[in-house]
Amino acid sequence: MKTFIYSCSLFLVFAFQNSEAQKLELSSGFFGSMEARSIGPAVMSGRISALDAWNEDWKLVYVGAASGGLWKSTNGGTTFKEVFKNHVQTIGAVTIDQKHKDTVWVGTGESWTRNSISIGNGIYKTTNAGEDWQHLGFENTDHISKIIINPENSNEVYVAALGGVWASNEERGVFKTSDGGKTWTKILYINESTGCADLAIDPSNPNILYAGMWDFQRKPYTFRSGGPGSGLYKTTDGGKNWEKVNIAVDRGNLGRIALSISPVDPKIIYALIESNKTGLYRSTDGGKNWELRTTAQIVADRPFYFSLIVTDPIDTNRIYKPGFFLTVSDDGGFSFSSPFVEGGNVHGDFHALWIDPKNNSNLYLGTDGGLYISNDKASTWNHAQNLPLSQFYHVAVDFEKPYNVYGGLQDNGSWVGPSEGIGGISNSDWKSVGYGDGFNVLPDPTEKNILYWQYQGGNLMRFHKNTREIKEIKPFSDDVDEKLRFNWDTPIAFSPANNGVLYVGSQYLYRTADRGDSWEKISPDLTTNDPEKQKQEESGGLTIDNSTAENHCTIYTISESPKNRRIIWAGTDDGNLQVTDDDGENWKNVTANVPGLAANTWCAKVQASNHNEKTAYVVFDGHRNGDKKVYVYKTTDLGETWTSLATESIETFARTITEDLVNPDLLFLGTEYGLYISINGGNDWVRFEGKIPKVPIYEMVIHPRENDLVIGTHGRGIMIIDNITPLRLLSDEVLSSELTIFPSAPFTITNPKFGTTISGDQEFFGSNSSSSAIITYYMQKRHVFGDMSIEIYNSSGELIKTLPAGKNKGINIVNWPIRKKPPKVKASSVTLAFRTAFGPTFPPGEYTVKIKKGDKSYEGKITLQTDTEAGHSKEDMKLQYETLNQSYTLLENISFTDKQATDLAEKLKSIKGKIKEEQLAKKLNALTGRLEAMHKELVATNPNRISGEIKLAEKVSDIYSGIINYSGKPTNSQIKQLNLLEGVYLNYKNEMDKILNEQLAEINTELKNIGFAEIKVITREEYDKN
Amino acid sequence: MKKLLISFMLSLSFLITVSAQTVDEVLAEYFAVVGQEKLLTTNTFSTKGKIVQGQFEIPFTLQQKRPMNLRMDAEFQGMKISHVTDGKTGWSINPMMGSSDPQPMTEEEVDRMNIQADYDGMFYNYQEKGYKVELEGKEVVDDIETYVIKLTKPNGDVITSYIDAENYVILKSKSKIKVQGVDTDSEMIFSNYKYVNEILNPFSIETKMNGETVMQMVLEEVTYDVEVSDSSFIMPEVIAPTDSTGSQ
Repeated sequence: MKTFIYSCSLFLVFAFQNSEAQKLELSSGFFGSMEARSIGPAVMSGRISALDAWNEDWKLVYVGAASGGLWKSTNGGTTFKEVFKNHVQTIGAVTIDQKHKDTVWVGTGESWTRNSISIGNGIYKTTNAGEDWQHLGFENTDHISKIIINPENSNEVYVAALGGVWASNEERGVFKTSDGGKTWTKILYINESTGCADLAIDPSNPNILYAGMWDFQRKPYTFRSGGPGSGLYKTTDGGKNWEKVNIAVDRGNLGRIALSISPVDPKIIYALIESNKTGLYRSTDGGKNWELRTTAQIVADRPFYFSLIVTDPIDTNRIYKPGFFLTVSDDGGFSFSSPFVEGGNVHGDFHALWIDPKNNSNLYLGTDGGLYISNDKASTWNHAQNLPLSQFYHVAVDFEKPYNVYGGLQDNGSWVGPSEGIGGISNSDWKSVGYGDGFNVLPDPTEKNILYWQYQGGNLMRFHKNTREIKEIKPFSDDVDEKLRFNWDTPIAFSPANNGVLYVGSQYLYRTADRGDSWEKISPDLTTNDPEKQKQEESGGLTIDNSTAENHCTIYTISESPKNRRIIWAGTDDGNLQVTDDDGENWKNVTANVPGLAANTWCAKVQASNHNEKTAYVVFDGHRNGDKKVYVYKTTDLGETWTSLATESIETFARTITEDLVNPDLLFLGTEYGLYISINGGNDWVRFEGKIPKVPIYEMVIHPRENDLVIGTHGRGIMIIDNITPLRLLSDEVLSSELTIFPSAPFTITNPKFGTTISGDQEFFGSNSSSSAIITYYMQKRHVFGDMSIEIYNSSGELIKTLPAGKNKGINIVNWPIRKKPPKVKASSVTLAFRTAFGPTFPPGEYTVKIKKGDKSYEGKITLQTDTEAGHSKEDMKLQYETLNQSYTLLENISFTDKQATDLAEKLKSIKGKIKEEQLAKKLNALTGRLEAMHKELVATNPNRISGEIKLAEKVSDIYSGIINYSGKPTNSQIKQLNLLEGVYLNYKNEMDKILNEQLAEINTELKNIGFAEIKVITREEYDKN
Repeated sequence: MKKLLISFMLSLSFLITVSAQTVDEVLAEYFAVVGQEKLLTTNTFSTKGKIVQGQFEIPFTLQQKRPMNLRMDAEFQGMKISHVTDGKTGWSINPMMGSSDPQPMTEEEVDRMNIQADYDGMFYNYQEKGYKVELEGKEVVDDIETYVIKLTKPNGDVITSYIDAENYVILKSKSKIKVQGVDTDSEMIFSNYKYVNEILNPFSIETKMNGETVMQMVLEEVTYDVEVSDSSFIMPEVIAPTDSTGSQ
């Protein structure tokens, strides 16, 4: 008893503590079942940075994307499964343990060091084929170029750590583990600007390794490849000692080095060495002597992006050179030519290549435009159009129904695609509207036929949709000697006033009111105009590379206030934030007012508030200066003072911010590692995990009509969070309630849209939004114990549907497919079952939603409305509804009469043998015969799928299924036929009534007389109940 | 009052087992909560309810009888679909697949069904069944701390269960099984737990594949020890159609 009391008091203490702890801590759980849907596109896919396949069976392949995660196929690329969704999405290296195919190592952080490169956070390993991943360090290395597993000892693994691209660090060089990744030793280190770009192991003697060390650095305005730290190193004792290989000694400083050892004759080694005369070298004696094979431009192009050579695993003289083009040498590297004999319709810019060691006809190729697969030695290629890895820089929407999404992509031009498609959004739904690298693609708000796009460096175009003509419209300086400086990703922005005014930024802000035919300069140079940062023609180091990617001292972000057209904000890549409140007459540099901001930090996004003219939000992104801090601020006094909205919960640097159109406290922050949401004006941020991985988020827009958040990711295409209304309503009151039903927008009843897609399994389909009415509610805790369901009542208070409830903590989204139960039929044939599979939709009107949770009931409303845009008159829709329900009722009536027939026949048969009276037995026989015949007349009884047997029920189902998917008037023939069939049925019904009232009554009297029980036939009530 | 008592008992078990570490300790708590001892005294389990798939609602019944008999019947627009096993062999009727006659199941299908047919549940006496069961640690599911228990069948199929660390019920399970040689993943989420006959059952089971809900099963009624005839698990004989032409 004492123990009991003690326990009891403990229980009370617990209860008390729980009630005290009322303050709710925001967590990702609050978003509950809210999820983003991916709409692709996958038609152009995105950059593949690394891949590996299983040597025993080429069909098992892991494909690593530059910023779109890791994907696994077990069927040679027909389908892929995302296997790295909880982790950073940029993949530098992927290596399968060839002895244990379920063990895979991944190094995050791409090694192709372009300006838009994403940043990784270390090494991961799975031992169950991608199910679970263990993080094994290298948090600060940023980029991993290769992982090599000792082919004789799976616990011994080498890592080529490239290190930071934008800043010096010591976490780079060559590392080794001998215990499967528990502990690491840095076995080769040169200096803090030199990383390991490539590593090769001698498969015949795994103690021999070669390391290509690369001295390099990027800055926001320049790039340097090459330096004293670069060089080729060799170890013969598993990394204890290294010697520098004297190669290209006469070339001065070296740059990036790529290596490839022939798997069949490891004495043959190829080294592609960047220098002032980049060349391909070959050794045939295990690295003692090296011979220069070629310095042709084809091997020298853009080493920071293409430093890769791959030896054929069978033919020692065949070597592939991926680059701008794919070329191959069959003479050991003296000469190169295209392998595309009969094909070659592939995207350029090649970064990864795997060749099947069992059959060197099979190849996987990773490009800026996704994965390609060849089975004829690179002559022809299949494109894997199932990897939605598109890298958007920007995103925009229009007001079509369904609305379209616009955006430009890394090396993949400019595109437009619908937010909904038939059976999903297919690759062919996406239309290309521009070439080059794509950035902002903006629909003209005043002219549906026109959109604007650009390729890198401010080359702005006006695109006419109907003719597909393109007009170049970029502004020029009035001073012909003056160069306008346009960013790689030049900002363009429409005035939110929907007046057609378009802004573009160079170092000056320009605007046009005539679709780009003339431009007005409305600012002085808003940048620092630092001449030291304008030497792009010298950028590249050993290999000059001036593609506009390093253009600097430019405007990068523009925002006109939706509340006051005279207020315009501009942020520059060299760290200035400027504002005018007099339509560009005067500009004020407010950068110095931003607290805690490092000098010259790239201004990534400024957004004027939708609610207050003096309020704005700004995001600075310092990662190009090696600074990964989160810089996000808000001003409410036109930039005089700023408050930081950064919190510890945001993992790494931010790229963009979007303020909600309705609730100013609802903010969306796009970061390098995914989406964060604040519901309290930026005081707290929570990562939104509903199907949005830790992918870089470059821009977001909220669709004003649909209330969708449309997210441009750089690596996973476009994602949409449908209807963010519940997020707007997450007040403290709601959060502290046990359950709150959110108001639902009226749901428009629409019919399924027909379309056939039989393109096979190698095509990605984007998801559509739900086609059901949606019930949304917030629940404070997950429901586990006791009943919980959702009941829907019509306006007469009649319960018409019970749905399984969503049980998640946080926001629950439950689909109500607004159809009645299908007509109750007894199908013997699949035809009838399929034709009657769907019930009619419920009529328009207001419905009551009751969420029953244990003893409690919560009530809300939902309205169904007709589709006024379907083009049918009210009368026609009413006629369709009535005719459909007439056929529905007729089908159920036929089924009931049929059931009575079979029920009675069975009962008669069951007593037949026991009846001695001849006359009565005859009657029973005769009636049974008639009932069985009637059954066969009412419904088809041949179960054969294509028996073609058509009886009364099948005839009615033909009308029913013919009407159900068209919301307008049924045909006159359908209506006439239905009425005729109803007449036919009435004859059967009358006959059945007569049988029951007369024949059966007579039989029952006789049965009673001889001591038998009366036969009772199933009633309608009993039938409907079961 | 009964509810209060249950939550009280659960709170006690929570207090006592804060330090539960081994898989068997976790399972012992689980067995206590679900009423395993009581389950052991019963012989048959019957339930009926509906399967919700998008806009389809398919009524079903399920019957189980010791040791390994299981029968599930569903009806779609009057067409009857059945899946039956006695633990060793199995058969099914599925007119959607082209025949209304019973068809024998493959060994693989029977094996897959046997996890469900196992009357006492897969965790009970798992060693004797040849299963490997491991406690993989803790994980948070929908803000609830859970024990992650991995069960591996001799054929390599893996079922991972997430047991609420406070209330000791399974919140969800993930299975990785081979279907015709192809790995498939699915997830089941359990809720609406209720006691019937002192035995705890989830009255709502949501199934997800590739993260999308594909099916929700709602139980409407659960009964124990209702008479279930052995004959309902035996495959009905099918009279083979005679080949009247006699052709070869």
